[in-house]
Amino acid sequence: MTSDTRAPSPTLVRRPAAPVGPHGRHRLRRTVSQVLLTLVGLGFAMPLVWMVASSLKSGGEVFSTPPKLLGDQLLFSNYTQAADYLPFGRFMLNTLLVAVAGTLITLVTSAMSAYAFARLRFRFREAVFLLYLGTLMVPQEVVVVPMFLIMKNLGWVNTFQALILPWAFTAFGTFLLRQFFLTIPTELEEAAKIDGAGHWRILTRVIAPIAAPAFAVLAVFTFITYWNSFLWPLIITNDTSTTTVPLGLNLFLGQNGQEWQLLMAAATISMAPTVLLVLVLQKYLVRGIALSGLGGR
Amino acid sequence: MSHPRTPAPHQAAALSRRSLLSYAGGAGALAALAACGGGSQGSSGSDGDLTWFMWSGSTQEVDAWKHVAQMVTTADSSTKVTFQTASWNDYWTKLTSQAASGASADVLSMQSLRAPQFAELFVPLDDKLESLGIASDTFESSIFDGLKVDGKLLALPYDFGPFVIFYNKTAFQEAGLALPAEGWTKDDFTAAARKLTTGGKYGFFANNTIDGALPFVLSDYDVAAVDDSGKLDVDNDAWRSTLQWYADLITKEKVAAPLPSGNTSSAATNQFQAGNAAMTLDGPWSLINAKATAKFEVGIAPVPTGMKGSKTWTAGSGFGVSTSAKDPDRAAKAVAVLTGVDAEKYLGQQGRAFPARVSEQQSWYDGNDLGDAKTVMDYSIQNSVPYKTTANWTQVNDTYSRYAVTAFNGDSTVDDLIQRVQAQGEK
Amino acid sequence: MAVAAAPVVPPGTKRRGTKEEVRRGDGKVALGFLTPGALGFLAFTLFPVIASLVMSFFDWPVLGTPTFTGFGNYVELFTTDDTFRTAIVNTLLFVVLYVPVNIVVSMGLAVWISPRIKGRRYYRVLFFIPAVTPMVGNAVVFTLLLTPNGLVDSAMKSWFGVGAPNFLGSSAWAMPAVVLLSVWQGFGYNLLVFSAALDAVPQHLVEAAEIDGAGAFRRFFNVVLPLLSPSIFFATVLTLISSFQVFTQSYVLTGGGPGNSTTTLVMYLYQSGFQFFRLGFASAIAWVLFVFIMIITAVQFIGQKRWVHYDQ
Repeated sequence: MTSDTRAPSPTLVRRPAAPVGPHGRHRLRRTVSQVLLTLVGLGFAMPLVWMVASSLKSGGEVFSTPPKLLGDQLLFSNYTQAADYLPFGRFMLNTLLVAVAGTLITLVTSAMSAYAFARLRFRFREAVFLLYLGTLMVPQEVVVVPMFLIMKNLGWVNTFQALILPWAFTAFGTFLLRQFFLTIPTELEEAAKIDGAGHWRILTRVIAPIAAPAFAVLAVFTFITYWNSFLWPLIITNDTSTTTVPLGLNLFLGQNGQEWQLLMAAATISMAPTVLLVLVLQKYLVRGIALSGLGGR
Repeated sequence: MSHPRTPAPHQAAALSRRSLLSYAGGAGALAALAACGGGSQGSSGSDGDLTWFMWSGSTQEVDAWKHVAQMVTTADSSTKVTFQTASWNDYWTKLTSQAASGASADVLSMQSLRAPQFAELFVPLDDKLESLGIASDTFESSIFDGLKVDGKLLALPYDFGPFVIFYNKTAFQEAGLALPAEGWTKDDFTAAARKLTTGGKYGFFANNTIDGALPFVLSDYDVAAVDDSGKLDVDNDAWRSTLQWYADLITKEKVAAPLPSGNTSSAATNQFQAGNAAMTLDGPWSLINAKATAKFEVGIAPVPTGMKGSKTWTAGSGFGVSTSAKDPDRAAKAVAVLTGVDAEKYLGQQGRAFPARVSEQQSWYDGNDLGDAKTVMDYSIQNSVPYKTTANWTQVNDTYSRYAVTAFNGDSTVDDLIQRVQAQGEK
Repeated sequence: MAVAAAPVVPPGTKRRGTKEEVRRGDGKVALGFLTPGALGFLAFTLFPVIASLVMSFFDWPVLGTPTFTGFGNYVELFTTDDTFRTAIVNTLLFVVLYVPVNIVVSMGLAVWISPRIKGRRYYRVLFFIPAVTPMVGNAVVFTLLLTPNGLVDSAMKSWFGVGAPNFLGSSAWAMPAVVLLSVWQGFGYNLLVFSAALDAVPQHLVEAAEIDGAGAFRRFFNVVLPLLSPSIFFATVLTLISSFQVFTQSYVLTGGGPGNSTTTLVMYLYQSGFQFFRLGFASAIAWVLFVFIMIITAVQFIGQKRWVHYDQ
């Protein structure tokens, strides 16, 4: 920052030549920037807009040449038809059950393990933690095949526990929460300790409230992962009683009937829960992501 | 992280225990749902309980199958059939994984093209026919034979159909073309395709499956994809010249649309129904849906006449008894009802199946206002052969589908396609 | 908020003062806290990982009994299997295209959506939406947009008079289409990471540089970017790991075709294991993938010393 003060920056050179004052110029630039960003946003949202628009077309219009944004009529009836065509409500409930239960288990067990790794002293702590860390790199696909055989031997093929449990104990949540717990000063716990609080009380009453953003991030990411999971449900579920939303969407492209407009209606509905979750928790989300260094999916 | 910042406790407390508790309450309600919904695979229940695994694509389809399942109980009140289902594409994966996990249904559904691949999952029905009172000639012979592997009958057929030409009657009439009918030739076909290719629309939409090419090979050379000994044999001049002609329709003549992607075997159906291509190949199982979806009049015609006449293939599906059925005789009786006169009449009327029982085929025409299709159907059935396949047909067909796109779009050659498919057949 | 300014502390360093406590330990309590997670971890993570390594040395059909084949699966993969070779090349191609585009786009937009932009949090949410919607739905819409005579093709015809390529039906364009879908769907995560990191950059450093006469570009590359390097590092590592596992996009969009042009390692793993039912063979593919990811991650961690600045 200290180097090269001699060379005038391009901004400095141009500044005197600008027709309007720096204030007005800034405002103009900001407006242009805002308009351009809105255009980019619209372009980005095009596939989503197209999804919603297609969900209101008739079957033949989805592939019309040339493509039109809207059909002759807006067929809102496609939404009720989609629900008639497949038990899509059931799929939503199935997925909600799996995602909520999986997220809760993940939060509770991760918080407990993270507390042990961050606050308790025991033998082989570093070694055990390293083992946890090592498995972070394992892609899901590595465990999918033996996992299928485990489920088969447990008689769990096509059950909810098979959709939930295998992915509720990954090292990821433990790692994330431990990192966060370590940033919380222990002084805060001393007072509680003097009051005679045990470890469980410290975790639930002192640490957990402070770590809420980290819990929020873990909850959202776990929920989304369960909600959108495709490969594992594809392998482990057998019928509509356990079908999840991503698989259910595939059902609209059946052997004899290709119901694209209904598929689009169902896809639009299936976006709702996660989008709502993100909207509600977005304040926590940005901060929690900043704290945890997550991302990169 | 370089900037760890901890929020003040009062902010963080906003996600309170109260809200966490309300989430937990919701989860409890869902767990109750799980208890009654999931894990329905168990084989508990009384001795008369059977499970039946069948593909389906919609609630209406499922309702129709459940209606038929109810007929089994009506015929024998001690038997109850529970219906299990998966989408068409997933059915085949799950059939094997269920068998592997020891959770096979008692009654399984089978399509004739895949019968060789899954033969080991079925109990042969040959010696049960007599006790069930079923004479083989009550079924269309081509599909009855199509469900045999190594001479053993794996399943009783419920539907079948010949692959035929679907055409846009409205477009033909507007272009002043004679409607395709019995006796029309390959030249007529190409001429029509040329005339109908206009304004971004195409005369023909080629399939990227073996199904779509086979009728043309049969009509010109009387050669199929699998020889008499059951081996795949496409590395020959009959296939080479037909596939080259097929590819030329897209790349040279430009009267057929470029293939849009490697995984949409349904693209032909979609594009035809949207009115973007005036002709395609399809089976009677698509006809009712096509008429309902298309904004034009849909007609069907026999495959255009080639050097050896107008020939096509038939395929169909049926139900059989799983080798892991607890009570094979009871399952066989259920199969007899599922493919019986009443079931076939119902399925025909509902448009769910073109009945494999000859006597009930009329119900399909009557129930769905398809009388005008009868001549074409009868002609095509008469001039058809069962579609024979190999035990690794999924791999063969998968390879064909993906490489047909490159060959037909001009990214690679027909020779390359044929060699890759043939190599798959040698495995 | 300053109380917690301490960076992540390695375990054990904080309380080294009380050696007696360490010796006494919290063994029993720790056992209680670890058991629920550890049981699941052993059963559903550690055991399957080891089991899959063992399986990779077997010929393991779904029906019938497994037979030991030693390195047979690996030998087949690396000597005779053309599809595997293609799958590796395709996966690497995807990674090389996807990761830089994802990082550049998400960083660019994160900078663009500066505090001066009105309603910035709504933009962030907008760009994050595809990341939280089922891939199947997104892929199907892209099919509609990219198909011949679809929206993109028609728009290009009417604007430029030349149609778009047959994206999903051409060996050359199918992979870029898969990358396009993946970037569209995925960059929202990194956008949030970078946005948060940018917000945490101390304004006084930037202002100091401005007073020194540094232009906007220099301010960004010399002041802001080094401060972001830990975020960029984490984001890159995680994006890389996930990009090696690309599956759903090509499964729905192209089915691995045309030809084998979009068949990735995980798609081949799925086909081998669950369509052709060679479970041992599929496990071998999984382990090759795992080793790839381990090497790449190790290289990243070694290389980070050169460019990641943890000090402020």
